[in-house]
Amino acid sequence: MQKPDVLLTVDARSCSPGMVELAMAMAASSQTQLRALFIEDEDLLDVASLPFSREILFSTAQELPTDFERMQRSLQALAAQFENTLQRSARNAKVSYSYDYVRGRRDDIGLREHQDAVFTILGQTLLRRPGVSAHSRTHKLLLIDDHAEHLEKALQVLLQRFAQDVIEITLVTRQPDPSQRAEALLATSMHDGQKVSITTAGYETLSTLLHEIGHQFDYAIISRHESVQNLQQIIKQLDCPLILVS
Amino acid sequence: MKKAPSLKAGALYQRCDLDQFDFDTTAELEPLQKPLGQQRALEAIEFGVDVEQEGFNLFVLGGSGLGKHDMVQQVLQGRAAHESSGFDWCYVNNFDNPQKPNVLKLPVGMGQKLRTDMDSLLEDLLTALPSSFQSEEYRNQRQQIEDEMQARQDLAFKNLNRDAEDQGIGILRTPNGYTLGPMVNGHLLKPEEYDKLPDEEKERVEKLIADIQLELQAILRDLPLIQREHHQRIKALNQSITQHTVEQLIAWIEQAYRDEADVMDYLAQVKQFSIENIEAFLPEEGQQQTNNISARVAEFIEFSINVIVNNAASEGAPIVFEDNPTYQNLVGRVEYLSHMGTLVTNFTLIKSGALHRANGGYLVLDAHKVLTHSFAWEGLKRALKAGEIRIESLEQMLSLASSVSLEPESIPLKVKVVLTGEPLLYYLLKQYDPEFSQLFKVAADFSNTTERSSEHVQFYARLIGAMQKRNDKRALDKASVGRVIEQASRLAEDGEKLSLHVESLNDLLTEADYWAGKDGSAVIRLQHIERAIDKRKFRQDQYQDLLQEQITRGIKLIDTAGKKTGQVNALSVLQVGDFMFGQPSRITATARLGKSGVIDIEREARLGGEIHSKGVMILSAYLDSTYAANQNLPLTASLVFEQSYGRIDGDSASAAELCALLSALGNIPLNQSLAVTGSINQLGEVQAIGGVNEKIEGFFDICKTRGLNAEQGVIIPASNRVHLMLREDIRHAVRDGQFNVYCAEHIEDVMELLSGLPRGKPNKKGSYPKTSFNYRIQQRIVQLQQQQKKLAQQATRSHKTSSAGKSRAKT
Repeated sequence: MQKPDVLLTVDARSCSPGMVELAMAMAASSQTQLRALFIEDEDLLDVASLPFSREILFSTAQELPTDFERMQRSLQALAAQFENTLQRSARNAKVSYSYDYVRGRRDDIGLREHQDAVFTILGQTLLRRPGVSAHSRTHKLLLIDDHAEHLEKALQVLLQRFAQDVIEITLVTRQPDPSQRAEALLATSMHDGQKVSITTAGYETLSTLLHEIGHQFDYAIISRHESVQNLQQIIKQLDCPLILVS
Repeated sequence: MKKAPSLKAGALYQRCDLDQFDFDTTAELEPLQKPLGQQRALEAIEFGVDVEQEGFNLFVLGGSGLGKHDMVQQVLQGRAAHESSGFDWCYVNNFDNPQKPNVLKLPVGMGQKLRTDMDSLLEDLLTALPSSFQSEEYRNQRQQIEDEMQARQDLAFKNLNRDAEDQGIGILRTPNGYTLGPMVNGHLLKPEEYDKLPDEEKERVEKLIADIQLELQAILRDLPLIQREHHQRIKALNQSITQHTVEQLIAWIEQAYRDEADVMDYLAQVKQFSIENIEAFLPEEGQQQTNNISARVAEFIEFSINVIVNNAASEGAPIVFEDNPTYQNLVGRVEYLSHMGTLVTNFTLIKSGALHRANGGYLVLDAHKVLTHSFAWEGLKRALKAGEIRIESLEQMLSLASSVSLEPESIPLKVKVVLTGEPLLYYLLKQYDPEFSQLFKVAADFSNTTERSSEHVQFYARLIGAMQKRNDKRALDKASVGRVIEQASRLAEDGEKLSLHVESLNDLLTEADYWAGKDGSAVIRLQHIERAIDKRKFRQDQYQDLLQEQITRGIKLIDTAGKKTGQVNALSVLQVGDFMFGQPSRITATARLGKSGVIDIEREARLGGEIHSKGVMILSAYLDSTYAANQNLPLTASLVFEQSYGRIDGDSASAAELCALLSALGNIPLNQSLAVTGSINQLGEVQAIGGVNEKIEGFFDICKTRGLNAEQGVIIPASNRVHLMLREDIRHAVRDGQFNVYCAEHIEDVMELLSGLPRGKPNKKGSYPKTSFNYRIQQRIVQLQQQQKKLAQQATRSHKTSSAGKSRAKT
């Protein structure tokens, strides 16, 4: 059996302690090391270099002039915070890790680098404002199943993180008997007393499903057997962290 | 002259007749139930306790050791047992203003029950409320609200994002917000690509971005409103769920206390608080609900019931004896806890005072302690006058503290306060504190002594029996009871009285019991009482021994034989702690021609007290009126206590001083084997003094050490005869004719005894017989007058001669 490896890629829009904790849990559970990449987003730097470039603040909705240097300093500061969080979490979780700061586009790098990893976590929150109440609530999970060997493991870790909460899973699978697949997944991943419901859908409905309710999912676990084009399309329609599983 | 007779030995001591006792030991006696000799005080206490009118509080006055405390306790216990136990008092949180805790007045036993019930209610809430919020129903409703909110938020962004993309503008997340850039074919333009755009295109793009930016800002500004609305909807949902749960859980407790309006009001506040503060009952986000509910109960002080007075175990009205009546111990206090370097408090830290505990009953306090503790007296008076207990720290009362503290609701006060104290305190308060008379209208005055009638002697024996039984000591036989009664007379300094100082009696019985135990005796016998008295004296009389040693070694000059002119042995009493003993002092007088009259050297040296000076003035008046009623008395005489270096007061030596003066004036030698005590008045009558027994014993001890010679003795006022309760060895010496105790009614009686000369009767011309001491005094006065006349004549002649000489010189 292949030794699992965890890759976490974050950028300005997806860098959060929650992502780090999820990656650490994944690595701890797999007893392997974590690779963390902070991506200095080229697009952001390009836009910041435009003569009329402005930054609109979350907190006050005020506009501030920005430029390449300011944006880069801002990203580097965020990366430093990320690294601190990484260090602290790794110490607590007793996980060994490596960290790199690279320039590029997150999707490109994530999709390129994930070939070497068993689990690739792509943090993303497109436009949603951070800090929305997260009281004990129902978590919605999208599971795109395409014979991924470690899918159960990823599901198990996520369910463990939300053991006290209700989980609603939408399983999109190529399997001929989705119900059987769903039962098998739950049997191996669910914890005692956990409230988990699962609905299944055929693979052919994925595009419609993503278009209609893609933004409602809190996490997505996707088999990496998907083609790069497919993955890019899926990522674009989701507004949540993704876990690509080999 | 016939010498005045000495008192018989039988007159020196009032024996207790043992035949009047029809018991062998005190074990057979029925204990005395009522206090002996304190009928006046007893009636006053019963009266004061009976009258319920405001201000009829008691002051029980009397010296210490008279049994005031026991009698008050006895009366109050008898009364309180038939009275209501009062109420339980609790402080609870004031949900509207936590700085001003509310008070609950509850029937006895209900305070503790309410506390237990509230703890149970809180446990129920802590268990049930989180469960309600875990329910499927709640989750669904909440999820629906959150989804709606999220959808609104997302929709706004999504629409904007789509519109922007449609117009070739991309919206990107930055670490702090958003930024916008032009896109072509789904890709953001690089700066160099943008530079190549025509100016019109650039202008269009910038305008487009500015427009979209405005829309984005509008969405961001609306977000707090959306979140506020979301929060309100969640809150309303939470309150709805909570109200339903709380009402169900609190129903039983409301039913249990439906007759207590105050409790119902409090429960209504509890309900409201629970509904409005549901977050407090739920586990913190990310934490699981704890199974240790008891630990969480402690966090909710708002639900605590601070039972400051719990009368559940009381039978009858409360009786509180507060032996440390500080201000705070009386009116209660608010305690503080140190938290992060700051002192904090809450209503659970309110502590009751004695007034709280005694409310509805009786509070017994030592007046001296109340008066000597800062502000305790003021606090007590204020509570009694206001009829309420208001807990206020001293800092608050004196406006010294500006920090925020609690102001607990005041508690109505209905209490009977009994102050005990020395009579002096009572009279001082009566004189100087007008409020005292308004608040303490009943005085119960304890007697120090009672008549030694046969009835009282029987009661005294029963009192001894009662104390012996109460203290679980050995019984006393008949002889020892008699000796204790005789000692009670000695303590009363009166053979016809009995001391009511029960503490001294108790001490004597305890010590006698100890010696009986040492002897292995089952009963306290006469010798044990004697030994207890002797040993107690032995333990205390070291200073007396030192002083007597100085006399016997001749350091302090006291003659006990021979005759001396102008010199008399006087007797004084010293007190060291509670031990009194007598000691002789030498008084000397000198007399010479002059005009100054009698000079009191003690007064001149400012060592004489006011009463002593008064005594000397009285004896001067006697001297003038007796020997120079119609003529001039050209005398300068001086009086002094020899070898006395401290302050002297009292007039018990005035008889001795007069004798010394008369001796010096008439040149009459006085017998030094006698000592004199007694005060005199202007008519020469000898008046009673205190400490007569100790004074006689003090002189006897000196004489005994030097050897008794049958001439030695003491002259005392005749009116002191009833006070004699002298030691056995003195009685033996008197019976054997070795020592004498003389009684004198007039100073001439004393002079006859001291000088051995008769007083004589004056003839029609007022002259005394030549053999009398009065004749000698009279003659000396005549001599002084003649001498004065002669000196006056010489002075006149000398003046005339001098004047003639001066005239001649002028011529």
